[in-house]
Amino acid sequence: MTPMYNRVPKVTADFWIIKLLAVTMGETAADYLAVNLGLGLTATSLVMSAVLAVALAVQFAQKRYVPWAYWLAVVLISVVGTLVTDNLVDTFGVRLITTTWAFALALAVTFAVWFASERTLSIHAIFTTRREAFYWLAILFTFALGTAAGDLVSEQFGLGYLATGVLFGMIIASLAFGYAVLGLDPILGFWLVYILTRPLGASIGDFMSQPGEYGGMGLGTIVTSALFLGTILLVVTYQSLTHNGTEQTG
Amino acid sequence: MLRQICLAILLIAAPVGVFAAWEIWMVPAPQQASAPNALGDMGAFKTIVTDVQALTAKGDLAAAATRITDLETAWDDAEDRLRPLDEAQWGGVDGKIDTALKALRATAPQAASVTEALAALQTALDDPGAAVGTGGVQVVSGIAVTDAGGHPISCEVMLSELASQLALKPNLDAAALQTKALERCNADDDAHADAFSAQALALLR
Repeated sequence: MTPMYNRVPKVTADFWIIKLLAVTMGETAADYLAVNLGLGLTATSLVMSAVLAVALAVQFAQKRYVPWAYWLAVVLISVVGTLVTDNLVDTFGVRLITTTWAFALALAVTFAVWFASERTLSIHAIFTTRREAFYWLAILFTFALGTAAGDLVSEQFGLGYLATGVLFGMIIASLAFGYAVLGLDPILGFWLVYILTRPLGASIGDFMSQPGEYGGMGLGTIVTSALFLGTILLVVTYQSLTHNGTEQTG
Repeated sequence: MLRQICLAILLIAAPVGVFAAWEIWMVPAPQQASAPNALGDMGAFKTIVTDVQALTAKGDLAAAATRITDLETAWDDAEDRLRPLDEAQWGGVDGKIDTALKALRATAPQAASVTEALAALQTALDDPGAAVGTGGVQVVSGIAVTDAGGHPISCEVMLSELASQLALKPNLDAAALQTKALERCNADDDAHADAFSAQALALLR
C-alpha cells in the first residue's frame, strides 16, 4: 500500500511566518503589477490567474508537501485574491460590504460541503486530491474575504496602515490566547487566524511600501516585495533542507 | 459547537472593544485638532461680549445693543489685521457677530434669541478654528469628500463618478489626477484618493 502523505504543511511558527510574509508580499506585488505593468486591472488579474492555475497544477501533482510548490501557490493566491477584490470593486463597482458578505458566504458553503463530504475539516489529514481541492478552495476564499473585510475596515474608519495593523494583530493575539488557554477549537482558530492574517499582512505591506506623505515608510512596492520574497525564499529553503518530506500525521 | 462559536466571537470582540475605546478616548478627534486658532488673542472682544451677556441677563436689551456697538467697531478696526491671518476663521467669527447684531437690533429684540446668539459668538471667540466648517462634511475644491459623520466617501464611488464624467469630457489634467486617485485607492487610502478625485471633478465642471 502506498503511504498516506499529508499534502500540506504542519501548522508551526514558521508556517505562520511564511503565511504572513506571503500575504504582505501579495498586497504590495498586486499594487505594483496593477500600477506599473500598464495592462490594467482586468488584464493583470487574468494573467496572474493563469500563472496561479499552473502553480496549483504543480502543487496537486506533488501528492505530498513540497515547500516550494506549496508556498508558490499561496503567494500567487495572495496576489490573485487582492487583484480580484480590487477588480470587482474598482472596475465592476461592487460594494465592499457586498463582496465581504459574498466571500463569507462562499467560505461557509465550502466548509459545509467539505464537512458533508469528508466528515472532517482537519488540515492534518489532507490525504486525497478531493480533500486538497476543498483545502485550496477554502484558502482562496479566506484570502478574498480577508482582503474585502480589511479594505472595508480601513475604508469605514480611515485608521491608517499602522493602526489597522495593530487592530488585526490584537485580534490574532486574542485568538492565540483563546487557543492556548481557553480551549478554543484548533481547526476553528486556525481558519479564523488564516482569514485575519490577510488584513494584518496587507496593512504591514502598505505601511512599508507607501510614500511617507500618505503615512507609510516610503520603501516602495518593489523594495518591499523583494524584501519579503527574499525572506520567504530563505525560510522555505530552510524548511526544504530540514524537513523529511513526509509530513505524515501521527 | 455553539460554545466554540461564542468563544470565538468573544475573543474577537474583546480586542476590537479595547481598540475602539482607545481610538475614541485616547486619540483626539481630527476635527478638533484640524484647525488651531489662527486669529490670536480674542480677549478684548470676549470682554465686550461678556458685558453684553451680563446686560442681557439683567433684561436691559437697550444697553446691551449700545455696548455691542463697541464690539462692531473694534472688530471692524481689526479687520485689516485679522482677516489675512485666516480668511475662513475670520469669516466664521464675523458671521456669528452679524447674527448677534441682528438679534439685538431687531425692532422687537427677543431675549432668548439674543442669549443664544451671544453664547454662539462667545464659543466662536473661544475657538475660532471650530467655527469653520460647522458640519461634519469635509470639502475639497468645492466637492464633498466625506459623509456627514466625517468618514471618507468610498474612493471607488468617487472614482466611478469621475470615470463617467471623464468619458463625457476628456481632460488630460483630470486624467492624471484620476491615475493618482486610483493608485491611492488601490493602496486602501480613501482620504487621499477622494481628494485627488475631487480636484479632478472640479476641473471638469
